[in-house]
Amino acid sequence: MAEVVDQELVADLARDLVGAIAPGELPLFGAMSKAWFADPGRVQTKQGDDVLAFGVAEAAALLSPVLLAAATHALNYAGEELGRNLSTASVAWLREQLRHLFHRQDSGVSLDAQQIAKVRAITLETARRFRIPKQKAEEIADAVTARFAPTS
Amino acid sequence: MRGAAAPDRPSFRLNPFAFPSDTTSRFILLLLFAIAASVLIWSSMAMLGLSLQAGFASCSPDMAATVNTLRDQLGIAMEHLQQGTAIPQAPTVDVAQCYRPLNRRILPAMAIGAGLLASFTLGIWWLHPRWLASRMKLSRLEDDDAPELVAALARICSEAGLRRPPEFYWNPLGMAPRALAYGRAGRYRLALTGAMAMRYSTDPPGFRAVILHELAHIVNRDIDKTWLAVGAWWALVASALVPRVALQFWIPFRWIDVAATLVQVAAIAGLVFVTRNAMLRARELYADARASVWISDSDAMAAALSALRPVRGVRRLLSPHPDPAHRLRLLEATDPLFRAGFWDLLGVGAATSLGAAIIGIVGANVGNVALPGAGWAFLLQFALPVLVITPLASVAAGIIIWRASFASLVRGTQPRAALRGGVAAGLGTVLGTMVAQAGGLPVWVAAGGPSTPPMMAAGMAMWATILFLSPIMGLIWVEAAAKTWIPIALRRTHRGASLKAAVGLNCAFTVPWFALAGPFLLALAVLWLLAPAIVGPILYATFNAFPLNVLGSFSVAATWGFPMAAWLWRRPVTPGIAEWAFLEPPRPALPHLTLPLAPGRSIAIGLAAGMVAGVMLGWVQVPWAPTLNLGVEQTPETTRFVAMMVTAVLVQAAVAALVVFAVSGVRVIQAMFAAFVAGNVLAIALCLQMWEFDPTLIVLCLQVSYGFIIIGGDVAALPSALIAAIIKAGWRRVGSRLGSRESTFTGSSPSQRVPRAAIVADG
Repeated sequence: MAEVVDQELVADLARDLVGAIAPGELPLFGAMSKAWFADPGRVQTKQGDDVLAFGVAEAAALLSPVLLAAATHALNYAGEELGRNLSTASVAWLREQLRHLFHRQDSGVSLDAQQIAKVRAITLETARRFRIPKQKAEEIADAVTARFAPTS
Repeated sequence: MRGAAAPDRPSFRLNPFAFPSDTTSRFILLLLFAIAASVLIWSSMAMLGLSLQAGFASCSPDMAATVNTLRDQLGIAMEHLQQGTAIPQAPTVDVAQCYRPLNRRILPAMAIGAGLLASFTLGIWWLHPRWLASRMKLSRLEDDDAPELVAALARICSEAGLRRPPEFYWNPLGMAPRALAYGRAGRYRLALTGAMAMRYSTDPPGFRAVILHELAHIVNRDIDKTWLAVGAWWALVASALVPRVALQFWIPFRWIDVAATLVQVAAIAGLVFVTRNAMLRARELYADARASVWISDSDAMAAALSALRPVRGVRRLLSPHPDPAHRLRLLEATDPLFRAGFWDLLGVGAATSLGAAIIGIVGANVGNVALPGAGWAFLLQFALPVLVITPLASVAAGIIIWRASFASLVRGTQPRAALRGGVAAGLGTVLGTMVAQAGGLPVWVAAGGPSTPPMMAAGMAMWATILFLSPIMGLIWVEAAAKTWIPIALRRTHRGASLKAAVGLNCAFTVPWFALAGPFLLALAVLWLLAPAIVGPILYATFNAFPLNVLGSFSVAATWGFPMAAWLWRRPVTPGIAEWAFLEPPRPALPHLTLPLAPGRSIAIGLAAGMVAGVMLGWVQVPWAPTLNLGVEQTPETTRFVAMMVTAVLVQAAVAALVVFAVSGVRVIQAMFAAFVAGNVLAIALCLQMWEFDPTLIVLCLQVSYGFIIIGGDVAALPSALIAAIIKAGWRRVGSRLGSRESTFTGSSPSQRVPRAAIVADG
């Protein structure tokens, strides 16, 4: 069911997260997401050539790559979980329902508490791999899980 | 920040770009070190790898026998000089013949070392844009990617006044905020990470400050130097240090070789690494200074610098980045950029002697193999280092002193960098020589560690003394010239060609001092040790033989003439505030600056003393006179003539001492000028004494005495004036401590205070 999650869906969720957590990055989000989808390996947590560069001593100054990665992993997981019992013809429908879900609109699908906890764990792991400080990682995980939690 | 400066802080910033920057001098130093190190390492590799130590040791002449032979030959030469007959040619032993096969084997290794270093360095410099693009995962920043960012960058480039903006590259997924200017040969690029790029919208002033800092590197033209320096370091590691260590595993194990390898590799690596990072730190400071002029909001610059990682403790000497606290201080005052750093000048001295020694070794090897006769090898061994290294050293050390003098004079304090700087350069020169000589240790060990004759040891000690003192004397003279020419330039709105010419000429004039005076003094000292009686005649012959007498007189005249020539330009055509001296407004007038010259007084004292002594010369002479080869039979009249010449020389020394106490400003220079004036009067007076015997003798008299009196007089006047100046300075210090003198200050803040004692009446 990998095809449930496409670039547009990931970008949509990631932009939503950037708007909530790092709104300052929105003007460049388009360029960053384009680069991410072209080659996720371009992400560099510690930038090269500190000998000569003007380098500010600031950790995790850019969150868009983390949020793109978190959105990708969370959506992949959700897509796999929710699409397990669906036929191929329902992929477009599921994609639309996922979009409704993280946009907090009425959706035909939902994740249970265990699955939401798993999304949170995946997001925290992603943030850890990007060497994001714990407090910031928690904030990202909260934001992601909030988008998959059922609307009351 | 500058607007909010505390009242006791300098209210204006000096322009560090008024003179060539430290970046350039440190870059030249680094290249010299790297080339010298590579050649040295490859020659030692050839020695070890090809087992040449024993060969060199067997060719080394017996030093005690050489000294005795030299002494005998000088004794014979002295006899012939006294008799006025030709000195017979001594039979020579062709040592060069013995060395030739060894030279042939060691030369290719030196060439390989230099060639590898050059090609690796140029290769790294040429390929670094590709390497960086791959390492930082960069792509070209196109308009479509981020139109607003591109527009912001274009705006900042136009603020910096760049004729040709750099190409922008970025990694939008780079999470640490970094910016870096790089590129080569006029095609420069600016790389950004996404974290830095997004600041154009989140923190526009901070983003602008960082980008302007990077653009300042382009304007300061330090990017090629930077990447050549980085390349030189890695090239040295790859092409010399690693092979040197690897060789150790290949040759038979001996503890002495391992120890020598470790010491050599560690010393060379440390020296080159520290020099490289000193250069990289300097370039950052100059980029900050340039960028801070473009940024009206200096708080933004301060904020950008405050965000950098602190560099503490010993890392300040080793880090390629200056401490942010130091950089922040430059936003208040750029004075630290003008300091004559002790370590910088020590480095200049070490690079000079090390480089000269290496070039001398290469020159001797090439000369012995490729050119006919031992004379060529000798010439290449001594002339090549002088031609290549001495001008570089003179320029590097000279500029440092000019910069320090400039800052002191504008701030209203007396320039005092030359003595400390000269001591540093002198120590460095001795140190570099010792390092170079240590390269001969394996040969010395292979020869069985022969003892050094006392004569040779004394000669080496004298050489070390001369090496130590030469930079001190040279730099004191440079400072004297700076003291007279900088006030002239500071009376003009624009720096103009005069200051550039003055700095250039000043550096050029120090070349003969470093290059010729030192070896000449050494030769004299060795001669004095071997055969003291020959020194007088040799000096006379040197000072009076054409064209040495003309060149010598011109040189001594240049010694005082160059600093004093500033007096001729004392009235500017278009006077005004020296805008070029300050980084930005406010640009204060500098009323405390006056020309430290009083030529009228020096001329008066020189003329008066010369005339009085000239009249008395017929009756009062020194009771002792050396035996000189005047080309005529020695009679009581010729002895009296020599005594009169010696008296004339000593009178000039006395005149110099007198002038030091009678004038202010650059006293030693004016003292030498007065001595020159007195010397001319005395030379004429001496020859007028001949008039009573035969009027036609006056021309002959001037021919045989003028050079000796003028050059000898200046040589005597210099130490005399220096000693008098030291006594006077000590006397004034004691006086001021006892409270007999009052210091009154002018200026609006302590850092601008000008002691009235420093204000000197225009001559």
